[in-house]
Amino acid sequence: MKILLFQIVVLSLSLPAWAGRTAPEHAGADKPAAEKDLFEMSIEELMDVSIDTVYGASKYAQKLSDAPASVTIITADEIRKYGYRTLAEVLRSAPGFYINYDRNYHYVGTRGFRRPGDYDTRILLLVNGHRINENVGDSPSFGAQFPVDIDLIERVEIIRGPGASLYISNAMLAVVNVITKQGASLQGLELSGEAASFDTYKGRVTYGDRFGEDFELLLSASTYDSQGPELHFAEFDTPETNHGWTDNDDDQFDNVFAHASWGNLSLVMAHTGREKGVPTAPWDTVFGDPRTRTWDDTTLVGLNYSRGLSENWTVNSRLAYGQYDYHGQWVSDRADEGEDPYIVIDHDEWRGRWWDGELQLIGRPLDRHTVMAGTEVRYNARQDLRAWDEEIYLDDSGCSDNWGIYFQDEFRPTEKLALVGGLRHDLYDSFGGTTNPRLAVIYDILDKTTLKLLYGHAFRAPNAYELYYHDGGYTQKASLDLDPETIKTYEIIVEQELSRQLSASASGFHYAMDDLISQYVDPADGLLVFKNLDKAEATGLELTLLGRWHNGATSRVSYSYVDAEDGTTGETLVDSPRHLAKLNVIAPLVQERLFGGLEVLYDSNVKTLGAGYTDDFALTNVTLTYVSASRRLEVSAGLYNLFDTSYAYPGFGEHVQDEIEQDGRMFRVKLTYRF
Amino acid sequence: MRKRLHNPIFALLASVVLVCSMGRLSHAESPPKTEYQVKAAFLFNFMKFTDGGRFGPAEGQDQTAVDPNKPVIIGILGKIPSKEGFDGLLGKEVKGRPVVVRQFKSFDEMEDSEGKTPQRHPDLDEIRNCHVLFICPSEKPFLSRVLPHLRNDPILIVGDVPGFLQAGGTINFVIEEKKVRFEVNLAAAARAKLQMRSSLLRLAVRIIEHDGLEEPNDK
Repeated sequence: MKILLFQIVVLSLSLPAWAGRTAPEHAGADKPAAEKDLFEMSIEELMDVSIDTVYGASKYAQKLSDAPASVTIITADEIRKYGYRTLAEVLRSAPGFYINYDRNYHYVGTRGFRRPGDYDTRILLLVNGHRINENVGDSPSFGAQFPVDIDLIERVEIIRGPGASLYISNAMLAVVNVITKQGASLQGLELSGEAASFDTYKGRVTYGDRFGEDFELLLSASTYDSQGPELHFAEFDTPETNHGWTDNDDDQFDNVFAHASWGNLSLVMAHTGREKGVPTAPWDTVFGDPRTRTWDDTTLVGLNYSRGLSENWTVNSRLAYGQYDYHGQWVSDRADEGEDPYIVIDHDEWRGRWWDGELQLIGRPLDRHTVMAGTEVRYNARQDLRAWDEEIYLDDSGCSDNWGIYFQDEFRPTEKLALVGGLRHDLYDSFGGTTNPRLAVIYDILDKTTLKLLYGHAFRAPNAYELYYHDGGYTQKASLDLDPETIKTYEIIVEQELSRQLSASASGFHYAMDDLISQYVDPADGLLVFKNLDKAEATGLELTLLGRWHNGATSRVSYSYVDAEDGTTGETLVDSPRHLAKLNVIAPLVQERLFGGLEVLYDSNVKTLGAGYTDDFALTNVTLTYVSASRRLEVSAGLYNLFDTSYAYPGFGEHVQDEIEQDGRMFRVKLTYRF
Repeated sequence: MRKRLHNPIFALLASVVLVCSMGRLSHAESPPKTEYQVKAAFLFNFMKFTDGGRFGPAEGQDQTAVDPNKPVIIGILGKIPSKEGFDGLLGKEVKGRPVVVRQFKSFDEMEDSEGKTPQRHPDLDEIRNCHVLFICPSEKPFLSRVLPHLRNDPILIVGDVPGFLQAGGTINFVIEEKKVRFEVNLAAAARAKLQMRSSLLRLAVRIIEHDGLEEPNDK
């Protein structure tokens, strides 16, 4: 019944897309049945043609079909029209990606891999090429604590597969590069306000402009506050714990952002401070106590400088400073059964400070060869872990550095064939060296068909948290000696241009991960410790169909299948959906004025830690966007989880809950005005 | 568990059919188009919407001022950074006149053994005969050796780099949100005695009225 309803919704949304073409508004648009080539288009139509280039996949602007990877690009236009509220929601729409939310942080999984309790350390998150994964636990920030306001994102480039031959550690499963907006796209002051379910409000002030030919500036500040819903947890449904009801699900953040560019030099500064109440009572904390909450402060300052040295050579360099402060506060009751409560507040803190610099040269030394060589140095000025309750039981302060050098050659023996070979060597204080190769063959079999064969290695260095965390020998000890995790991936991709509007791609992959760092109880002393223990293997398939029409309508349908299992036991991994299907459609309902964005996401059931299964679910989100004639005003209204589907994600080791229920139907209204 | 999979699979298939059928009834636009294919099409349109100079009679001039058998000459200075270049323009017609493309050497190609490039392009006289001149991004360091010489010639000079208009170019391409846009320098158009139609000007993202090649006695 619900499926039928959504079909009707989709059909009715797409009708205007068909209708839009029969009432042309500008000269040259009166060819209903025939296809147009570029020279038959009017200038207005030409101004709507998108050109796709990808920065992340090989670190220099490349046509999408040439990149030696499977890439998805999501633009600012799509982010607005689909009503995405966080980076996690943006990633969730990409083929093969799925999320988990434990009512504290958002986590992202891809290709069937998303271990509960894991900090998503195997996805590398970048902003303008600068690494966001912090240097204590390697966690990227996909939720509210991401340092760039979602409205300031120009586009998100999602590159699947191991990227380690070009990027340092963590690029095992995917690299996500977030490109921020530039001042020129604003031309003045922009104000935005949002109101949404559960007493949620957001306000933003942004100013941006281009000055003269060379200088651009963008400044922005935003604030967000959400009271959150009243939640009920059946596991705590007793009179002593308020019958399982709590409203400790508040979420607030403040964000500041600046971007300036002057000729070939650009500077980005981003900071988000976020506070979240934790309602799930993890780690045996007292249910419903509002003092159980976390704070995350993420800062990035990054400089980029690119310059053409000559017609054939370009140098790119960057320098970044990053800072991450995490503080968790956990209210526990240390009293024994039957005794009066003995409340203790547990604190844990991570502090990371790092410097990161990279120098890269791209050029054509010989005909048909495009080479890229570079070196990257990272200095971890601080990697501190602290934990205390009434006394300090962990106070570890460290610093470290690592260094990498890489090289890639793209050789085109013929117009239709490209051979890519890359190698990267990294040296780490903690474990020594690692070398990671990457090979790709890209072949334009036919005019409209491209075949890509890819093979790559990537790694993840053990992080400070895994190496040094302990609680004074109470339940956990530090491991001090770990090897890096490794992954080998094989992938075959076929990309086909079906028509002027439609393109499709099919990819098959297999990966094997080894030396996965996991917690384990040492039988010698009964303490938890991290060890290189596990293996994981997965084989899968991703099918995508993409459409883009002149009138602004775009669509993406994807289906992915993955069989991911534990390499040792052969059992399916926890939190690994076998099937994922997604439909995304943007349809202009009134040409240039009103747009409808529809998203339907299907996740098949997943295993939980308690050896149960969640139910499979389909989530539908609809957003209507109105743009005024002057383009100064934009109003959008969105309904998330339109059919009020009840769905849950697996809980983690620290949760009593085996499954964590997610939100029902929510709305959001947003208004943006440009002066 | 197995039963429930049928509905989503059906829904997925239905979506695929839907998306494909959306295509059949809609208009052309190939997903990724290369940057220079699109810019070539823009160039084609710039010529259509410019009058005066060698582009056909401007308002008030008589119809006999231009010979319709003379081709429209598009000059390209330097190397276009994409394999198809502006090939799409070959064989097209503007205002009843066939388009001809002429390639001029880039300054780098004329480097002597000491690494020096000429101060003046040896083919400057030929370049002056062009109706439209596209200066490739590779020539950015040499703009001051070309544009001042062409100041008063009736040429529509199009470029592709920041600072192009200030240096004296007529139209410059910019990329915004992965789409091609353009900006116009009215001072250069006035010197070349070219009239750009308002239907073209209103689509420019920026229009400047003064540039670096202006002299006090210019209008």
